[in-house]
Amino acid sequence: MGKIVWHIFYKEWIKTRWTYLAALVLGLATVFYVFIRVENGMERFGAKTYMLKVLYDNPPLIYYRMLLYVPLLIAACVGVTQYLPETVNRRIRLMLHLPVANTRLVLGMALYGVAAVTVSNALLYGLFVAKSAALFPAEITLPALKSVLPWLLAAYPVYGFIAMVALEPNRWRALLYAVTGYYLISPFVVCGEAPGSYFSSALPLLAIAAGSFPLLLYSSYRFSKGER
Amino acid sequence: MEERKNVIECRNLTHYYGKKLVYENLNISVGEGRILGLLGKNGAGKSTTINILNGFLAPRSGRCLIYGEDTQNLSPATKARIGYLIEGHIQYSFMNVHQIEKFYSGFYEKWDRDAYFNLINRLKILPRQKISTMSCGQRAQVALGLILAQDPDLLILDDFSLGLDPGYRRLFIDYLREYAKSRGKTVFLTSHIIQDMERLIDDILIMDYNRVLYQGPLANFQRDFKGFFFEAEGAFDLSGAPEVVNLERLNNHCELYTYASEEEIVALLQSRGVGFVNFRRENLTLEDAFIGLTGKY
Repeated sequence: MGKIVWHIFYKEWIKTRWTYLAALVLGLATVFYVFIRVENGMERFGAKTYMLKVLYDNPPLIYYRMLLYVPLLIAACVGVTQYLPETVNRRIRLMLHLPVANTRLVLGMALYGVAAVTVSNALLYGLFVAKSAALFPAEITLPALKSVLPWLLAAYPVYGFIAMVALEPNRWRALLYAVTGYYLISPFVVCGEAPGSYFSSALPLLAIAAGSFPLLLYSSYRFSKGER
Repeated sequence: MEERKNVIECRNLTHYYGKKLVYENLNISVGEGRILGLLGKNGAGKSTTINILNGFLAPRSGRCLIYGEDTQNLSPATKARIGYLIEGHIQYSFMNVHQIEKFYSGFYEKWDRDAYFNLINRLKILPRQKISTMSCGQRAQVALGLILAQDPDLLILDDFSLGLDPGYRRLFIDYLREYAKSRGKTVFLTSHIIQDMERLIDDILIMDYNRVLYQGPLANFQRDFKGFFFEAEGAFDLSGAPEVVNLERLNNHCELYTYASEEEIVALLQSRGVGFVNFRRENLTLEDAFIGLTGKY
């Protein structure tokens, strides 16, 4: 099975690599840009005043607000570049004809997407942690990390719903899934007025992500049976 | 004589798209080592049948078996025995010829990369050229090469001639027939270009809307199905005559298609009081016979 997963990953990588790498570079550049602005702010107001703004302004300065949609955009890029070519000419028939159970093939594709999102999330978060820890004390860094974490986790259900919508053969159902996905996910992708205030969104987002993958299999099953 | 096993066996297939009947109680069988061509006009149900055979469409009723397995639940081992060419030679166009070979090679135990590269090396393409930038003929060769490398026992080819120029069509057909016959492969194919079939197939299945018009060996069809041309003055009516499969008339020129003998047709025309001259039997190509059987419209 490991060999098969490797070959699935190989195809998915060739399909997505340039868009994925471009989105990832853009995401990492956004993190750098956030901290360039922080450093400029510290130079302009002085580090102590800047940190006071972050801690005590009403509302406090959320210096990383710009990162809110970055993980979602990367996940969307992965999902669209991964599944759109499969739906053109119903090309996914090639995949489903391979001598492996359809469930494994579709899960293999989804696993690649999850892995790609996880790698980008890890890099974004790692860079954010490193830069934030270098400039701020833990009192500022830890709430910021709690704020950013749900934004990163939201990338998983976004990816799951894009995959589900792309593989759904019926356009009306696909539209229904897209609208449902938007209303399920968007309430949890929020930049609160206080750092760390929406940390509790993490669990619902993980639950939505977990729920989207069985539905992805259902969409692919409907596709493979020629449902319209 | 040893009886051939049926590789494909479809029983009482009925399918609708919404309320539109595609066909009812269709029965198809393809013996091991045979090449069967499925012919039909646009919308007659050729691609529907291919999709059912590959398990990409569930029929309303009836079932199809390939190597004894229901096509709706083919095991990976049976899928490995089936090579599938999608209409239009659809492949992973974002890959180049090396990448696509590398991808597929991981899924098939009997993968024969030499068979693939023997075919690919004949193409005038750059080593890293993407499939999306190739001509239709080159893409067809890539798709065929991948199937040959898979070394399947059954090849299902949906409209393999679509978009190919005559040279590539001939190359595809000659390569395919030689491959199938030398290795005892079974082939189920469709094509819009009927003259190609004559060089390729052993058996023929001709479908019209909702029904099968003919199923059997090609040689028998070409022997038994006849076209008689004649000129006739005035109106006449041959409706209800069981000998007449199809009658096409343009002014005085009449084309009558039948399985009956020349004597029987002459007797029929005389019995119906048809005044005819220049009566002759035409040698029909497969395309002529197909049009004669299904009608021009």
